[in-house]
Amino acid sequence: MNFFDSLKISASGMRAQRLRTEVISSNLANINTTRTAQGGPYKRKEVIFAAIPLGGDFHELLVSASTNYLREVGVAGIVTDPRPPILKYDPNHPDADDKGYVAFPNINLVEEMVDLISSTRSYEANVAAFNAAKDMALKTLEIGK
Amino acid sequence: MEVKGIFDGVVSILEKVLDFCAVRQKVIAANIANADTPHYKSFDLILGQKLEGEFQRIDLKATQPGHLRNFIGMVQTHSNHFSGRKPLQSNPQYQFVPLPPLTISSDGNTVDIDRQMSKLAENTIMYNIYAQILSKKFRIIKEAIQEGGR
Repeated sequence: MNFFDSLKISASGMRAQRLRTEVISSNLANINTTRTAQGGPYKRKEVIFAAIPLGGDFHELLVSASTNYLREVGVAGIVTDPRPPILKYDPNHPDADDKGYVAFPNINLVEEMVDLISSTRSYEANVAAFNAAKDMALKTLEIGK
Repeated sequence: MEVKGIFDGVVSILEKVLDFCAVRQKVIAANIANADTPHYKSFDLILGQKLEGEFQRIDLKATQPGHLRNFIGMVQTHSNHFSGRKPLQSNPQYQFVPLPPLTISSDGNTVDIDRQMSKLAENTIMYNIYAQILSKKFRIIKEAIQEGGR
């Protein structure tokens, strides 16, 4: 019995949600960015999560075949949203094309805010799980007192 | 880990239940961490047949007067008698069971966060209860050792 696996799993969830929050912040901050290093407007980014088996040493994996079910969460990658940019007519803009249209990132503010709330709630859920495991571990120390 | 001597089967059972709660905590933490992972299937941990059997065995029946009086040195003269010092040799069998999805999500994820949070609370409380019982159990033994001779 050890609670460090629980803490590790919850920490992986917190880490993943924090990265998601960072990506959402990046999307929100760059909602009007028309210039990037790759050229063209900023493209919306999204985090892809993947369930990965809980790492442990070989012996541990061999002995406890039952814990093979346990999955922590990892970030499989950050993908770029394929949606085409929004074209706005603004001939005076320095980044306007020949016809006077400026390509702006296709970022929906509402979508990002909803994502942000969802991410925050998931983070909080992981914190709650983390604290529960911590309380249980501390309670164990009280046995025999 | 087996405990013998002045500790009876209750301590051994409490150990196993605490172990179970600790493993279940991992399962719930994994479900919560993967609440946003596409195609993740949530699951739960249940106790297999064996530990439930242990619980039934400890169901002590005093069929004759004087059974409980000499609890420590009790001998098993009848199949219904509970042997106070018999170690529980079997390991509890945990079973991982997938949870049926209550809601349909477009990415194939079956984690219901509310259900997981309530399970988390329940599991923590149960763990604390068992830890407290075990703690009290040890305190009783200590009391008997220290105060018994006075």
